[in-house]
Amino acid sequence: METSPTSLDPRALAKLHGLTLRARQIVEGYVAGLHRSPFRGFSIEFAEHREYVPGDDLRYVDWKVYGRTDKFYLKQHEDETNLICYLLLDVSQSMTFRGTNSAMSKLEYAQCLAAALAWLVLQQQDAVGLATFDQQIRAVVRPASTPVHLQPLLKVIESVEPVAKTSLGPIFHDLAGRFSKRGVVIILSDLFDRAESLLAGLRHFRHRRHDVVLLHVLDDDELEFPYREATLFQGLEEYPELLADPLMVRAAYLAEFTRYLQQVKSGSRSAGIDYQLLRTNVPFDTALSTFLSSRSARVK
Amino acid sequence: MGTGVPILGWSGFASAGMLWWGLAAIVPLLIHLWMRRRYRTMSWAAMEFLLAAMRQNARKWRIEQWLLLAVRSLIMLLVALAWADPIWSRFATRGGDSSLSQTHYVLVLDASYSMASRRGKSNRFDTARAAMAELVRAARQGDGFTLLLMSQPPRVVMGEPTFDPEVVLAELQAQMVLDTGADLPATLSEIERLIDHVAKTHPRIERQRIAFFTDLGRTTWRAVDAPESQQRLRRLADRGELSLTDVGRDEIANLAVTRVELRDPLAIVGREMTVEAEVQSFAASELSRRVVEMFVDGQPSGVREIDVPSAGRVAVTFAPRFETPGDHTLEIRLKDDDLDVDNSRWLAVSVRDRIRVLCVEGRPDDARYVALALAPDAAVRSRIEAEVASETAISERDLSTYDVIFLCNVGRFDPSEAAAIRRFVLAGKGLAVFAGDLVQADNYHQWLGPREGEPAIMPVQLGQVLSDTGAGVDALNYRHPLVAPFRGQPQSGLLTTPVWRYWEMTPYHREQTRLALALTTGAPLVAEGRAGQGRCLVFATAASPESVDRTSQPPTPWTAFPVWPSFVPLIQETLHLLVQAETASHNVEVGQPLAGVSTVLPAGATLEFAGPMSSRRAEGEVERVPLTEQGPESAWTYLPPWRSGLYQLRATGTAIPPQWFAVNIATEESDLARYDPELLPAALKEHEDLESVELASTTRAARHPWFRYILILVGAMLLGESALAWRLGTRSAPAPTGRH
Repeated sequence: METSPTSLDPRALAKLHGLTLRARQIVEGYVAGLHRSPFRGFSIEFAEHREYVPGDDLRYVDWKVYGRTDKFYLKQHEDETNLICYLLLDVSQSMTFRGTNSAMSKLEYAQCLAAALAWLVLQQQDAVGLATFDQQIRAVVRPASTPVHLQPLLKVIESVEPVAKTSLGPIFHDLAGRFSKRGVVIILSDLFDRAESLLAGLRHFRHRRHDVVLLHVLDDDELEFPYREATLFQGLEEYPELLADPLMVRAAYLAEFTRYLQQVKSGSRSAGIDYQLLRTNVPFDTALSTFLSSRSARVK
Repeated sequence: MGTGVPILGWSGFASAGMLWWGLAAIVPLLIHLWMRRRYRTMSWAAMEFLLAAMRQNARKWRIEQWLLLAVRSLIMLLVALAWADPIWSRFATRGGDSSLSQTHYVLVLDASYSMASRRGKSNRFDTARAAMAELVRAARQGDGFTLLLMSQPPRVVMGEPTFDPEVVLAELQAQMVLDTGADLPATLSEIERLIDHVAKTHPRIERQRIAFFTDLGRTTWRAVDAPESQQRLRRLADRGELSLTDVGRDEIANLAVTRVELRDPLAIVGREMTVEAEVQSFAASELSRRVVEMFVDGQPSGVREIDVPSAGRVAVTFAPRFETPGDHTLEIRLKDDDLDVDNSRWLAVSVRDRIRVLCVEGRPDDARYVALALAPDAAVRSRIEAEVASETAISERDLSTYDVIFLCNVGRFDPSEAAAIRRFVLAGKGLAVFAGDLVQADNYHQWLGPREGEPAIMPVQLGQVLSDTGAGVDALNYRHPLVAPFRGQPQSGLLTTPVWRYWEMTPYHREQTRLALALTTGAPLVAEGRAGQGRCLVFATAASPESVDRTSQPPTPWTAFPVWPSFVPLIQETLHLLVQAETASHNVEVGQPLAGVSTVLPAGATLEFAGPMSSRRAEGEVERVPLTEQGPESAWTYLPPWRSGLYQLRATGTAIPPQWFAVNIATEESDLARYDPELLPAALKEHEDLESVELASTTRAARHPWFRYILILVGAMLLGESALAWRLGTRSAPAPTGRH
């Protein structure tokens, strides 16, 4: 039975026009659901105590202080509030794909997610920056933590024009060199590039001691290939067109795609990169919770 | 016998036209090409993976697609093949000859009426027909069939070879038993003619097979013993294979009505007649309490119960009385036995209220003795009116009002008189001619002999007057019905009748002339012949003592015949014979034509014949018969269908009363005794079982239902195609979820 869409459902959000509106809906919905902030500092040097408030992570409770005082205090570490989040948004043409039953294209989904993540980071007074790219870097917004920083971010996110093909590896290398301060690099992309080049770029981020989160945005149709009728597939990003019987090619296509996904996933894992596959029909709260759990695992 | 190896050869298709459905085999290809033109278009991001998949599998997919297409096309082809019903023949060859040439089957079906003998619900004819149908169905594609009925005479039903078994079977189904016997020599001759004809018109047909289906009735098959029949069979055996299927092995006890006749020479209104019928047994044991019925004009009029000894005959008499003049019918019928057709016999009787005889004399008193002899009995005199008249009466009177004319020493005829006499006789009446001293032979020959386009009225030509004082009369074994009553009656004086002068008589057509009496010198004395529907009796001497030999002194009469004891009965028998001429022409056997003359209706008019009718069938089929011109009269001829019974001639729309005709079977065929199969010629041995026949040089198809195997294969291929299509369409790896 189909459940009615929530405010965090891509179908419901697709009816909202404007990224700001959508992002606000996500954030408010996510916060209203008392979800924990996905971002935590990751310094291990103790700085000071602060009094516990409901909702704080009990892992940071100083139990020794509790034993002495019967009161709950949290340990705060140095630079915990100096988080820098770099959002890397893939705006290549392949991201414009929208499946038959999808409410949003991959790009729209990634835009919403990027906007919501930026909002959340700024809400906790951390710095967030943005870079959009396809086969070259299209726009860069330096990290800042002021609330007014959100608007230029949303503007850049919103104003993308995907026309070119992807070239992830060189871009990642380039950006890894530009990000001087250590931070969390969140990549929102369909990762349609050669796996070796892509992983090499990602490892460069790790080499620069960044924390990398790879949000692999894919459409259900790309994952399932549910087509039955003869179809002329017209490739985005300058690929040739192909007339094929989907029933005949499905198994082989899925084998290729699965092999590629496995390659990316295992390569990410071995590089210590958080990898999450996000389908564009998944509600945003689920997407953010998924991200949170991966972050929590990293922060431990 | 053949020594070859059984091999399987393709013989063709039972329904070759169905092969056109094989064109449907291109439909899957057309659908495939059409589907390739029908596609949707969509933009696709993960093109790289799709292209990689295509690069690795394109060749394999192409092969699979073609395989699927080939399977689908093959299914359509096999369906068309199954519908066409292919035939593979299994046959033995002679000496390794593997020729697959066609066979001409001459199907000979015994249609004599003994084949109507019943056993249960079916009869021998049905059994023979079924066996023949089996042979037709078992033949190979391309074999031809002709069909011949053994009857009297034989009938060719299909004279040109037919290659479609269904047509043959339909024709076979339409055939019926005929009310005749069977003429074996004529049948063999007809078979030879058919084979010769087919050999000329269809030279591709190399093999012949003549198949007889018969009950081996002895009356038919004893003719096989004749040298001519033996020679014919040998010739047929040289040209082809002979086979005989016997359908008459069952013993049937048969009774038949073999004769019905009116014992009274003249059928007179109001007088009780005597009808005698003969019932003959062809059974091995006595048959008792058999019921015999008489029907007069279709109404039951008498019943008798008889016991018939084994192979014996019993006479049964009835005494009908006819109250009105005109045509009447009599039927004598046996209660049913296993052969119906010979259980009834009919008689068409012309009943008169009186017999009018015109005695024409050439000289006064030339007819006096004849007139007296015609009505000697006071009781009969009221029924026989004999009028004596001179020659002028021939042209002055309406001769059609008379039943018989006696010409007593009439000298000559003028054209009108001759024409009147010709019309009289040809219409079915009787003429007696006494040739005395006034007769002018040339004139008789000119007017009463054969004329162009017309038959002779007199059966003999008068030559010269001969004298023989010592000759007696020879009754010629009393064979002729005129003198048969005199057999064993020496006191009648027939053989001592004095005849001193007489005319020399020479038959015009020896085979159509019967001698009733002759002189002991061999010279004909009384000759009888038919002229049209009538009859003519010619006496070579005078009917009165007035004819004298004037060369002798004193003049001596030609004969004492008019005053001899034999004269009166002979004149009486002459009258009976001549009166019955009309009756005889109304009672014929099956296969004999009916003919008549109309003095009232013109040529071009149409008469109707309705029949056959009987006590069990009041209405018959109607056939129209035209009148054609024959000299000054209109004549008609009708050959009844080969069915016994009563036939009625009608002149619809006129006041002419209908006439009845009786068509009876020749009862020889009622003897159901069989010809011993062991005595048949070697080439014509019976086939016990068609399936077990070993043929020397002919082929026989094994009509195996190959189409069923093909359809089973099609079913298997349909399942295979479905599985293949499903297999090709559902090979897939589980969709990736991206979970760790």
